[in-house]
Amino acid sequence: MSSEIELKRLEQRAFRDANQDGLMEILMGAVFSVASLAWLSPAPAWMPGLFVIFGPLALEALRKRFTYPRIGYVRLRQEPPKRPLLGVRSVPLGMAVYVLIVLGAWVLLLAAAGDVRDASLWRKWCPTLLALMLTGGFIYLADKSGRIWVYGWIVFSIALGVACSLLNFQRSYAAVSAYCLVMAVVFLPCGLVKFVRFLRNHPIRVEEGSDVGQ
Amino acid sequence: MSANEMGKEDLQPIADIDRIIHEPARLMILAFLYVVESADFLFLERQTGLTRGNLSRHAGKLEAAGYVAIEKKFVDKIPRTLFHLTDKGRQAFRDYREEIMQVLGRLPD
Repeated sequence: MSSEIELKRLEQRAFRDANQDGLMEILMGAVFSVASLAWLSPAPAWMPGLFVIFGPLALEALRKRFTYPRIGYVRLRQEPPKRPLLGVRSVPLGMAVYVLIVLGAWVLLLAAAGDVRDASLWRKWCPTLLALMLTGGFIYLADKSGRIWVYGWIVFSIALGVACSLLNFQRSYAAVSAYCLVMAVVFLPCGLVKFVRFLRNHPIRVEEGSDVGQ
Repeated sequence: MSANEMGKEDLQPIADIDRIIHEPARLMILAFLYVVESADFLFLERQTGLTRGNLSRHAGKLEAAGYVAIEKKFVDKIPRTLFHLTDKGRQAFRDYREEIMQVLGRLPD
């Protein structure tokens, strides 16, 4: 129905406007940077997890400081999808199904590449698994933002994952670390450029400092 | 069906259209709030392109009709006026959408 398409576009525009500050990309870049380091040394293996837990809190604090005074605040809808994905209505269940499909595809890939029980083979193809997992996030982002170029991220991410898997690294997990490093190198500057442009294009007008409203 | 063939009964759905919603500024506000959970004054102002005065006036009418809830609070000592659609407003918007599509669908080419 055309009216539903228009409402979808309206929702996508709200999503894009709410995320135009580049802070999400900076956070992702930070997570990838820490993950890249964490894969190389056993000690800080929990650090990316900390970023994932506290990242949204930091993001909200930064947005309170920089974003909301400039473009206002919006809370996007978090309701379950009306159209079932793969026949599944619940979001967590849908994610579980997606993870199972990806793991299944990855095991098939390992079987094609050699002995599935070989741990070194698992480590070698870890970047591809990570890229496939991230694909779900990118698909969600593409749907929410309505931006077709997000699919470019998917192509880039999978190509990078496969390339890192095929290269021969000396250290264990160096391949997945390299994957995270390249992703961080791409995401961080993108986010910083977006953030600086956002600050430039949306100065705080004096009367906007407080929302008078009524 | 020509326009002349449309009788009073055919025109009745047009007269029944919700006049609170059937105003471009209010329709914009409702349509936007329909696709988000809530938004503050500044975000709504930017999305709709309405002036502050217009937005305040139309939001006030929607609030009076029970379609929109307006919540005022302080976040870190900064005032924030939050708007969100009520259940009644959500249903009214759905009904309006169906009515207007039916009316337009019945008009002759």
